[in-house]
Amino acid sequence: MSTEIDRFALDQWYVVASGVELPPGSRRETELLDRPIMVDRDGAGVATVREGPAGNGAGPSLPCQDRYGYVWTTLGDPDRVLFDMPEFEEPGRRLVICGGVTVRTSGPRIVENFLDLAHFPYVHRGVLGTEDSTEVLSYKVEHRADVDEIWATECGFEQPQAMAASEGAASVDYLYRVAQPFSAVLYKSSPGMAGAFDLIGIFVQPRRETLCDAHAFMLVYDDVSTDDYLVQWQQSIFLQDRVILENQRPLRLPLKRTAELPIPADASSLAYRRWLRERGLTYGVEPAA
Amino acid sequence: MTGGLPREDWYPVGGSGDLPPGAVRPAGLFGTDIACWRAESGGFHAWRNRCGHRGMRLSFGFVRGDRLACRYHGWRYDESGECAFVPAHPRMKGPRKAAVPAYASAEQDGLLWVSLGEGTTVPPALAELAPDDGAFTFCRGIHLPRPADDGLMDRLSRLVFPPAAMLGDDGSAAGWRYDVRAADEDGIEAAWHRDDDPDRRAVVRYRSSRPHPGLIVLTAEGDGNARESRLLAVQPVDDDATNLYVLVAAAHGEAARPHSACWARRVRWFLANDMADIRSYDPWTAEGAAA
Repeated sequence: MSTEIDRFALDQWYVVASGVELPPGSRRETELLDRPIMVDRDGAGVATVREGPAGNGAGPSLPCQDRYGYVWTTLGDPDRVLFDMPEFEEPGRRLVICGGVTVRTSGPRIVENFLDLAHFPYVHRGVLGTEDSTEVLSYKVEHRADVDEIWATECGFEQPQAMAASEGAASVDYLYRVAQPFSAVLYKSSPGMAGAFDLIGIFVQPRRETLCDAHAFMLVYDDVSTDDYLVQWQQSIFLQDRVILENQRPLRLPLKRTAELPIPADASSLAYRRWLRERGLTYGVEPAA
Repeated sequence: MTGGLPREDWYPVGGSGDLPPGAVRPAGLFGTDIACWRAESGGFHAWRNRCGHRGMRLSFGFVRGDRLACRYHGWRYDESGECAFVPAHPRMKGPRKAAVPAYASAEQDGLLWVSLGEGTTVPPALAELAPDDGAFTFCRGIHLPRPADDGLMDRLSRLVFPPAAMLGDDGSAAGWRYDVRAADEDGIEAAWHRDDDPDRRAVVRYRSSRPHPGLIVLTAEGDGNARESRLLAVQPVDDDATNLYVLVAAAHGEAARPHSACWARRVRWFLANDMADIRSYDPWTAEGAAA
């Protein structure tokens, strides 16, 4: 357990409950960055977050935002309200909260796996990839300084069943966005709306350095699938990832350049690790030096 | 942990038959995580259990022909450990730095052996341990949720078993019980009997030897020079676990095999539950008899 948590990790917004998990008049006791956290929603639907366990030890109130279907808090002093996702205002989209999955690994390992294209044919065989088409074509990665985010664009992959509503295989365009060190969103060709992108996001709640709740959502054009089907589809994919995530060694993401062996397909992972190094993240990573 | 077991020595990590061609599975030795796999053409390999690309444990991988593939991104490693194929870039040469280090491995006497040392030695020759009884053959492996420390090695050396020659034609040990008559540094003497048949009884003397740090030979000598040996080979997995391999001497033929497997299960139950006095539930060890 870290005795001192780095500034970059502290100054971020984190999901501590989904709206689904926290109906009016309920409480969720959880953890964030090694600390106990208590999330309440009163009868009127207003959420509050406090540090500390229930009872006498209840600590001070923490900042709270109820947004994108989740309750967010921070233990530090973030320099912006919360990253913007204007797609949440677009008519015709459905928000599906896919549930939190506990994963015994570090947050950065989870985010890096989320950005990865090359694992589709092996980890999500028959759904997001096949062994007939394993090549990862070159794509663009950039750090957007104005918002301090990592973006990967012009990504493409042949997929047997790209989305729950897909009918047959398709060549799918992707964009990836690392909006915060523990929050990432992907945009992929929507089978339900030509020319538009569906969103799938993962908000990692690092309870401890190598123990996280991964909260996934979908924001899609899909008039066909039931909520249950969409949740099941997303969870079955993420459970395939979890087997990988819990069996990588070390569990903390190594930031040292020579620790692992990147190839061109790992351009987004390289940019993500470089960004974490430059920002001085120490929580959930193996140090660079 | 130690138990007098040198880290650099050879230890079994499984039975040969437990790893058929094309199979992959993990093994532990002194806390070291090992990926064991067998090529389709039969070669057995024990590698560092981590793919150099993104740290995935290779024991989750799969075998294609004579190559081990990582489950995460399908990187293929040939039998020398070199990365031969990266599916994300099919025309790219596999990175040389990706080569997976191998541990010394061997297959002998029906067991898969691994050494964390330099591999300049060979596994102990089990055939030479009981020359009068013929070679030992592997019977059954059991998992014990406790370290291979001095206490465990001591207990293993004081296990007793009903010799096959004492049993009836069906080879069953059901109904046999024993009392320890004597127990000292030289061994244990046990009087076996059956409550349901007073005419069936036998006095058996047990000795144990430790010809190699991780090997214990238990020898039973009964009336009329009836003799039977069993070999116990330990695999010190980590600070919490030990695997134990039971081998029977070939001289006793196939008759002793099912019975030895049954005995091994009793030994596991006894040791896993850290029982102090075993005679009360009769899993055939002389634990506590010397007291």
